[in-house]
Amino acid sequence: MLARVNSVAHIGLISVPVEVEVDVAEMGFPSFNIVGLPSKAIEEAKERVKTAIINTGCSFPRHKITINLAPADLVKDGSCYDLPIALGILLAGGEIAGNDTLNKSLVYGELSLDGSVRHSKGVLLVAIFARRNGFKSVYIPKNSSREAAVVDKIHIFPVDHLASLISHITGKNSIKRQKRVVIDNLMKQADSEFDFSEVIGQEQAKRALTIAAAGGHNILMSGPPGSGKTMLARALPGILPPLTSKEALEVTRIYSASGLLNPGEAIINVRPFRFPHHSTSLVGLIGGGSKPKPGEISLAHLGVMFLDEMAEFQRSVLESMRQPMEDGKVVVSRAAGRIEYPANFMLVAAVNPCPCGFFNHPKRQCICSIRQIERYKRRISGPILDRIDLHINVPFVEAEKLAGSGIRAQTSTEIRKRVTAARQIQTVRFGSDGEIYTNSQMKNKMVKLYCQLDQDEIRLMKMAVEKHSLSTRSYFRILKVARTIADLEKKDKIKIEHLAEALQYRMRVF
Amino acid sequence: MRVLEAADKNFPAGLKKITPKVKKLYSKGNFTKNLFIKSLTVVGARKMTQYGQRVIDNLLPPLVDSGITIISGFMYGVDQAAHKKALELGGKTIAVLGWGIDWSVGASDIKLYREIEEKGLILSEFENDLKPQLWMFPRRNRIMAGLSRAVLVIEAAQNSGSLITAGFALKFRKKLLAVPGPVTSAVSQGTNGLIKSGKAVMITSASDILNVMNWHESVKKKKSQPVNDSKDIIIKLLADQSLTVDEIALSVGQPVDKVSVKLSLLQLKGWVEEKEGKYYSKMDLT
Repeated sequence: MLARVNSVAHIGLISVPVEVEVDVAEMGFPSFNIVGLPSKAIEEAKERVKTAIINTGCSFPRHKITINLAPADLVKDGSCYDLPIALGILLAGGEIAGNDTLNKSLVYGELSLDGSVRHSKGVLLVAIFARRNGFKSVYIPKNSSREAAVVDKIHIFPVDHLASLISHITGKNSIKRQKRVVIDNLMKQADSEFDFSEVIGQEQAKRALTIAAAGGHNILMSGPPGSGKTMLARALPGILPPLTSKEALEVTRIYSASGLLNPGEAIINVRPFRFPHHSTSLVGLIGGGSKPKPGEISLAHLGVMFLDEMAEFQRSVLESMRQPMEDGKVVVSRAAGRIEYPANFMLVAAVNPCPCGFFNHPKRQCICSIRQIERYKRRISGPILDRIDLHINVPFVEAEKLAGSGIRAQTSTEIRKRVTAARQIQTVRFGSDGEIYTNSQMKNKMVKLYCQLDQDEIRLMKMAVEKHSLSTRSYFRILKVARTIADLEKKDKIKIEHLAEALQYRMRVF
Repeated sequence: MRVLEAADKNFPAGLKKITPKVKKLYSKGNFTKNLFIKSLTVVGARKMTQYGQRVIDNLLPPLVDSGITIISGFMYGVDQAAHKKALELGGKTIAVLGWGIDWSVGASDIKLYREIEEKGLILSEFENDLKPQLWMFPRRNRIMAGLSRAVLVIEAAQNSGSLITAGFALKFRKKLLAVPGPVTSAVSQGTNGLIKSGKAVMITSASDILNVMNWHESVKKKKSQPVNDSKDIIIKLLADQSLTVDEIALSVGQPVDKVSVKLSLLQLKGWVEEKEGKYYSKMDLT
């Protein structure tokens, strides 16, 4: 007898339907074969499925079993076909009788030897696919069911064991449907290791990070070791605006597909903050591999990627970020296919001024030669620097100078309020443009539209271009930063003071 | 390019008396014998601090206005800052190279090199495109000391090349001048040491140099520098120290964003300058 069970395959973040066809033939020697370009993980499904069926208390048909994963030319990978294969065998072997609802259902999940169903990756994508393609219900692992529960208008049946799926289909004991999870209720404010008020001094750096967070601008901090660059960056999540539900869904898709959601977790509810080590490879950062997986830049989508000691990264690794930083997405082409992942991140980078770190340090002596320092600075190429909107110095702070200064540092919560307000202005501004979220993503055409200057402001910028020999690209960058500063002050027009402050963060001639 | 033999009548007189002997000199640019009559060799640290830059900004204008040629070694830091300042003021400057006359300098230096070639003079004892090597610099230093009537040291660390030049100046019985610096700064140890040991005359203003050397200040009025009559609290603060934005904000008790705005505007007016994250006043201190 022949049985068909619907399931799903993922190519990057795109889902395609897979039909699991199971034939249990009366004739022929008993055997068990899977065709339809299965990977090693699927080949091994035979042993898991067979054992799970037997351990559930059902009999495994002693016949010639052929399983086809259609379409046959698409390479399938992963362990999530265990459950549909097991169900198909039971149906085809006549162990249980199917019902019509199965035609409109998706089955997805990995089996354990005892028949229980394990947490699987990509469950959110299954639910989204079901919703878009008119499937009524999905049968997914119970541990992953909250992931799917953010999708509305489909029935979600959390399966904890093969036995409960059998009794549900045969109508003995139906599985309780997973309650819908409302994304907005799950959103929360990110915790950070440090509060901004805990960082002593570095007011300019804090101000620059505030602007960066408000406008999604890339920022480069340069300063000697111990000046607080890393601490500032680690405090950044505390001032980032909370994710909107649309953004959260976008981020969660990537994490679900990479299997980075924990069992029971419904959604990524805070902005990602990734800090890859400087030994990270090109594939680790950009994505790829024989089965192309998202890299750090995609995992930082709509969040922050912090590169500490940026000059220590391999040059080729840094250079590979150029195109994704421009486009907000990365295309990974491999023999196995061409996959596009979103990569719209805010880059926060920290560098030392020289190899030993103490160039221009008030107390320590720098031991590098001028040539070494120049070579060190050249490790980050012009095109990468050119994509960074804010450049700041984080000097060494002599603690005794600050003691008793009496200035009360702003807390992260206060800063976040202003950042969030500025982001809302941007959301309204770019609402109709759809493609972009923040000022930093504006193309030159949009800069001309949204950053119009009056006579006085134009005169100031002319002076600045001459004085600092600004390139066209830096000119536009300064306008974008000035736009964000104006947004932080809830001003429609960019004024002289906004431009003047933005000039402080321009790229210095390296 | 020109080649000067020691026997030439145009050969700089100062170099005839020094040892080891200079046999040949290659030159590029505008060679005139008058260049060397009133000349001052300025040397100092490669890792110049803002202090060094301010000293150059303050000392050089009256000297250049008085028609004094600034001789230096075309290295990073004090050397190049001195060349630049002299050119900026429309004065005369000579670069003495520590490498072959035809060796091409790096991309970051090429602009200054061309400018000196066009408006000043480039000298070297070494022929063709001989690469710079450690032994060549002390030899170059003896030429720098020999060419001029006095050597001025601005910011020098202990055991630095600038002190080698200072040593040659003493050996050749030239006047040795040094600008004192903060006792906490590594690049002031050398200069302060020269003063303490009595080897160098302490210089605290341009007129010190003019007096010591018996040079007369030109009647030409000083170039109109912006005058520090501003009531601006930031300018006042920066008059005697260089500070970061944070330090300025803390001192004047204003938020850092407001201070940033003011600094940008002052910078556009040319009243303050920034180097490696620290701001200093461009105003005349006197």
